Amino acid sequence: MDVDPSSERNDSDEPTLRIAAICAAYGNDRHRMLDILRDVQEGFRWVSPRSLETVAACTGLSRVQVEGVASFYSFLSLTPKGRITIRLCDDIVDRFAGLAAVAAAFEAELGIRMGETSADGSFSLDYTPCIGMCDQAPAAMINDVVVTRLTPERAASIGSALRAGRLPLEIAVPGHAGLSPAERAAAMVENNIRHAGPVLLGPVPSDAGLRQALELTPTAIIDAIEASGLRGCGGAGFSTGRKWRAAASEPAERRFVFCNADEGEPGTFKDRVLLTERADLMIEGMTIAARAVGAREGLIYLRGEYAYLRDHLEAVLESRRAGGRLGRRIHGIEGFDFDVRLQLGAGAYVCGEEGALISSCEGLPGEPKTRPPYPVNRGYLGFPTLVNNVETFCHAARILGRGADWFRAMGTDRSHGTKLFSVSGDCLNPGVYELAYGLTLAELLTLVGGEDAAAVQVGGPSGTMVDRANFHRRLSFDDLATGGAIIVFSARRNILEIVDYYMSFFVHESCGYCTPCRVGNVFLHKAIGKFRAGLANPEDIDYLRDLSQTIIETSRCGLGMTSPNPILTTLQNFPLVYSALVKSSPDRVRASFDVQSAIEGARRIARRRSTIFDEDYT
Amino acid sequence: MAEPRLIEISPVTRVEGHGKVTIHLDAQNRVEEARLHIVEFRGFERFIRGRLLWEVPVIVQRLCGICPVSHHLAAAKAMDMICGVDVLPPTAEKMRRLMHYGQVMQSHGCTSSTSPRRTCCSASARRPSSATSSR
Amino acid sequence: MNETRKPRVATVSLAGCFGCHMAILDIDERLVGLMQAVEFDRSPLTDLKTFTRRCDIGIIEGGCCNEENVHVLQDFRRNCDVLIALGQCAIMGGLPAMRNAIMQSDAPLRECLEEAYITGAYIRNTTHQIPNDPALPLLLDRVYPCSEVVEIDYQIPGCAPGGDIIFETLSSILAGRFHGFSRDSFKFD
Repeated sequence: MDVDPSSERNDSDEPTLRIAAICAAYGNDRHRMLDILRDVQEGFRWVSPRSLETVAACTGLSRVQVEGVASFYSFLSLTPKGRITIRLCDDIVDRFAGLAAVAAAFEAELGIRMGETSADGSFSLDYTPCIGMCDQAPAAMINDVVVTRLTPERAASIGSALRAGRLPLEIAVPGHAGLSPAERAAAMVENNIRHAGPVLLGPVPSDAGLRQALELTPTAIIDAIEASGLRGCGGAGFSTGRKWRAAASEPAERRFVFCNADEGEPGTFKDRVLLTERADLMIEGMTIAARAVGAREGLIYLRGEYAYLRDHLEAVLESRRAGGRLGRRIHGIEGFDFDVRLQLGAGAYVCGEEGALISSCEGLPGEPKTRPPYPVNRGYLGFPTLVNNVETFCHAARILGRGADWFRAMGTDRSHGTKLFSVSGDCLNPGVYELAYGLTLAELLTLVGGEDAAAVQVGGPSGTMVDRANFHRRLSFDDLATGGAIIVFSARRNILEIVDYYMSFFVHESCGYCTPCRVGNVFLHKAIGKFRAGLANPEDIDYLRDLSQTIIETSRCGLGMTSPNPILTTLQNFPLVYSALVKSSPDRVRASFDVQSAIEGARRIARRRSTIFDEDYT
Repeated sequence: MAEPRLIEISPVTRVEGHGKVTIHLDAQNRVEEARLHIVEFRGFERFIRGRLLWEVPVIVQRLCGICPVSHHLAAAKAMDMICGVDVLPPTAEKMRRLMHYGQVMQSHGCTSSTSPRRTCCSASARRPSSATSSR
Repeated sequence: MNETRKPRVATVSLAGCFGCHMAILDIDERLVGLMQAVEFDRSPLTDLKTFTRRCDIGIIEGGCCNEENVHVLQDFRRNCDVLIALGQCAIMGGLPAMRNAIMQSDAPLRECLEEAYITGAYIRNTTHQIPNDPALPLLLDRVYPCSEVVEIDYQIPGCAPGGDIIFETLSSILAGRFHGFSRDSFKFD
């Protein structure tokens, strides 16, 4: 079934027709490039050179433009993948939870190494960064199905079942046929809700906020959001009210409301739980926003790793349409039309950045956009676009339902309301906690059963690594800010190993546009490697600081502006980890330069030893 | 009766490309062989492949810092051949000559007596088809 | 530096094209004053092939392409108090470092050698072999900047730097008053 790239292009042969049909299903619209290529990948297991040409011809683009998109996203492949692709999460939490043994078990059972595809095209085994299952690690994706709490035994049994021809969904959720999409999602992945708060995870009424909002003018809705003090829940913490006001005031014929469900920051999985349990509330929040800013079109950008939630979300959308709460004449109001479509991502952390998210929706590679203009002024296709996090929309719906003062009273002076924290790592009770802003890290650690933690990564790799001396600090926007990720590390974990992994993550996920980020992060990662190898000199600590500062100051998006944080925050809070490893070389000749391995290639070509460096050469 | 041995003179002046001379003496201390080695290797022939046309003269100037103009001219002539240029515009011809005479003056007249002179790769610039002495 | 003797300066061109040494000579008549103020030890300018004494300043042109460059650079580090990397080759590998980035090649070193000695279009090589005399130093897997091999104290950027910047920097270092380059002394076209 795979297209042979060397054969002559025949516009009427079956694969070409299938690809043309895929493009036609999306109206040959170049802005739907990501969907087109996702479908091509699914149908053919790769995006072949012939596919690139066909898609380019159908959408009116050049081949290289299509290739740019196909080569950008991790879940699209320019080489053939197996019919079953297993993506094993290799985040630091999974590594500490026994990833190596699980990987070895898959390799043994399937007969291929990590990174390979079997010769007959049946299986591919790959590593992938955080898939949002940190509280039940090690975890993996098998095509779109998720399996968690893997052990070597379970991996072997999954591999063997796959080889016997059983389907991934059947393996992950036996007896799934009778389940609704929501039940299937809940059976596949645990929620692990450990602490429900008054706003989101406790019982919530249906549509209370939307009905209340319809009693208000759009301006009054925005006033309420602003009065509540709600700030963005994705990590940046921008005032939601101000954002809605800006989106509403920009003159335009079209306006969009986008929900950022890309949740890619390692250690964050709270949106996954909201999408599973509170999807209705979230869409209600989007609808309220649409009312407030005057948008008729909405979109949920769902990260590719959460594709298992697609059916459930489509079902919720359909149910709201059927109930007159979405689509045309919402709640019977003439002129109040708003509908939402689902857009799946394809494995790119940077697409959680709102500009990159919009680029991705426009069928482009997920590169952030230069700001200004901001998306609320000129976003998707040049129109004002309101982009908010899943949790933010949920809070907005509850604020309209219960009132701004109710929300504002919770939390602290500049961090109002509750927040969902996703806790994982070395603690007794990983999972999702809804708590009011302002609690100390120490209090949280008591709740989660992690009092003996040695280090806590607050906010994922782009946040802060906090040491015991700072556990009195508060979780709020003014002190320890986070989009939700809290990763607990015990004393037996190697800090530099964690930093090393986080730097490799940023190297992998950088979109590549800004040279200081693309190249600088590689240099930072290599420098950490020098420290771990015991080859660092004292001035390398200054080098880490200088280079970090350069990257932060000269990057155009949040990725580059925060990628040096693992290094900077550990230099600040765990300085001994670095200073204990440096040594000066007394004769100032660098120990990190290994001349023997540098001349090894030449030795082989010349088939002789070195007259200078091989002492026993005669 | 001595052992066969090797005398090494390194580096050799008057040659860009870092020359080394080894003199092989036999057991009777007579010169058996004298070899000139050019020990520098950079791989220009390979890494200019794939570069843009107008980058090449600028890149190959760095073959030699004493006679960069010679290399620049040789590359420019090669680019002429690629583009099918038979006749140069008069200005281009004059510029090339001016640059070349300037180099000759710098090498032979204007610099101190310690600079490597005649045997530098500039000697080969008069014979456009030969390879340069160092790569 | 000891006031009762002249500072001693050594220079070398590792994998350089000698353009930076020519740039030193571009200080023109100031060379006369320089030669009265300092003593040149090991240098192509004096044709002294080894260090006769420990030197105050070592000026390095060129990066490290082969093992002999590494050996000489390490020798310079051990025999000089201060090392100045002169020109882009010494600072970051320079133009020869283009060999490092040959795309789509598993064996860039072998490809470069074969292109130069065997498969090149106008080669006349009667041995049909890559030269392999033991006197030839082995090439490194990639071109390294000097600062990756030894600690470097100062850098003067350029390809080649102009005579003025070389003279000003060298004079300041000799007088112990070098504080970095002013912003307008470098214009990159």
